[in-house]
Amino acid sequence: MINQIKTKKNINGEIKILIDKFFGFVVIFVAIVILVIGYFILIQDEYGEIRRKEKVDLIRIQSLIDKLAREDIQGKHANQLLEFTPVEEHMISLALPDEFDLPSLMIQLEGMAKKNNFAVESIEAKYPTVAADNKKNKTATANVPLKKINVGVTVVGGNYDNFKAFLGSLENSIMIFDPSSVAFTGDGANQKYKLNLVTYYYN
Amino acid sequence: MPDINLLPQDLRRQEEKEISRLARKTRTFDVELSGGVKNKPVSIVESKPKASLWSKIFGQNVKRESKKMPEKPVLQQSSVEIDMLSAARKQKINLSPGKKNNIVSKSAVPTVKVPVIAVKEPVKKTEDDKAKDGWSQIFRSIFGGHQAALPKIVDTAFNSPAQTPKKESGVPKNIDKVESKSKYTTVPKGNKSKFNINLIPEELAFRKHINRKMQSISMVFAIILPSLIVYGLYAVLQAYQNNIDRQITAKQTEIIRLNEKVASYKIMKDRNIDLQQKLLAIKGLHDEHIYWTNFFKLLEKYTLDGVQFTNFSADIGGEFSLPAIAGSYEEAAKQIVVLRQATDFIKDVKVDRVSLRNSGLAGITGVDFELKIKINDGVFNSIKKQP
Repeated sequence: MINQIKTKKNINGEIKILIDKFFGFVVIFVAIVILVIGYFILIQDEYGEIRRKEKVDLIRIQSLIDKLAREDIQGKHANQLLEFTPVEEHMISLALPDEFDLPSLMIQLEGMAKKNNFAVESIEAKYPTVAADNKKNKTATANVPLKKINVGVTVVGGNYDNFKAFLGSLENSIMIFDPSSVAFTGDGANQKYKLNLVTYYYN
Repeated sequence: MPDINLLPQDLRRQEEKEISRLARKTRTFDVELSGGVKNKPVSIVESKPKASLWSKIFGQNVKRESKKMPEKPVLQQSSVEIDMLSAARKQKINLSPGKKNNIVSKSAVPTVKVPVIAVKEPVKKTEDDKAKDGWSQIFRSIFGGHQAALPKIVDTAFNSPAQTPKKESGVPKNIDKVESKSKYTTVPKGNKSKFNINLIPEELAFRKHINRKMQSISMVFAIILPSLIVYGLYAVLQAYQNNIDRQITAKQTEIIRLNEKVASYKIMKDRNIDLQQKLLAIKGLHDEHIYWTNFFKLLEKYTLDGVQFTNFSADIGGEFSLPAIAGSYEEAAKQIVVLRQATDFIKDVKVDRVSLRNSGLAGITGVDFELKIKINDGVFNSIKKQP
């Protein structure tokens, strides 16, 4: 028993001695271990994240900014070259509206007819119809932005000279009217002038 | 006294080297020589309990308490002999640089004759000494701190004031006043013997280990300092990452701004392109525009005065019938010829039917005929080219 205690005490003493002897190394080792562990736990991921952000995110964002800046400059110059004044835009929209506007058309025709001593007897619009079984034509029509509308106009009350003037008004109108056929019947005050017009819109 | 050196030549060189080596070290210490013991060699180190493994390897703190020193002398020496030694043997050797072999006393160290000092009584172990060799000493050597295991460097033979030689007045005072360094002192000054000799190598005798408190503090520092370094580095990286994040955020804001700007330019660009397309379409429509007034002008131009068109129906296909009334057949014929000669207007003229016009009460008033004409291409489109 005494020997065991003595042995145990000796072992403890030897451990203490070893600790004392190599205490400096132990301290340095502990410090290094803490540094290494700290590096792997805290520093490594953080550093990797920083590297990734520096090398990937910042460069990618900067390249995107450069690209956008170039597009910005190009767009600015392109718009300066292509830019229309509001008056020009209005004139273009009058000449070729974005959609068929029958009320506007009626007002214009009536105004021109009155101007040339005519009265508008009738206005008839024939919208373009697409055959249900003709998908190819439908697709083709849908893809073409320029659409045609046939409008039949009958005016009465004027004479031949008035009719020619009325035709001149239609030809010189800002809105494009193409008379596809002209017919007049009767004589004197009962003469009727019938026009089939083609007008357009851009959609 | 002449300095006689009887060493061989090679040993003398070694001695000179050793002296020169020691001369580089600045140290001054007392060398007090003592006699030996007849029966056994003089134990300069005090008899002490069995040293632990701890003390054997690392030595102990040089802390001693004079009160605990055993007062029982181990060596006994007569006062007469001590008087003889104190005057003759006490020397002061100064090995400071620049003073090679600066020996205060006249006799050189290698040639000193060591006298034999008789011991009156042999060393006897007391009960305390026996106890020191027992279990209590083992426990003390392991757990009892450093005092029990301290190497007791100086013999305690003359610690008792009664046994201290009284004739020390013959020794020069300057020698007495030379004090060993306090850290080397193992005996309180009051009990300090003149025979304060430590033959344990310096490296071992004065080797110190930091105590437990210092070890604990060192370990705490070894943990805290790297942790602080790591945390500081982490904080720096965090700050740098925050800076990068701020840069990224700023750049993303700039991207959003540029995107909006470019998007607005794209909208304007698309609108302008659309207007351009419209303009091109308008131009195309104007190029293909139908001018009926041109047709009527040409028709009037090539119509004779006596000819009248009753009904009119035409389309842009270019072929149509034109019923007309002429005053006579001759006039109708002339009209046909005129139209046939109008190459800039008519491509082809045909007359299917010519007949007299009978209007009842008025009788015959003219000739009805119907023209089938085919006009030239571009009549409806080339109004501006017409004269």
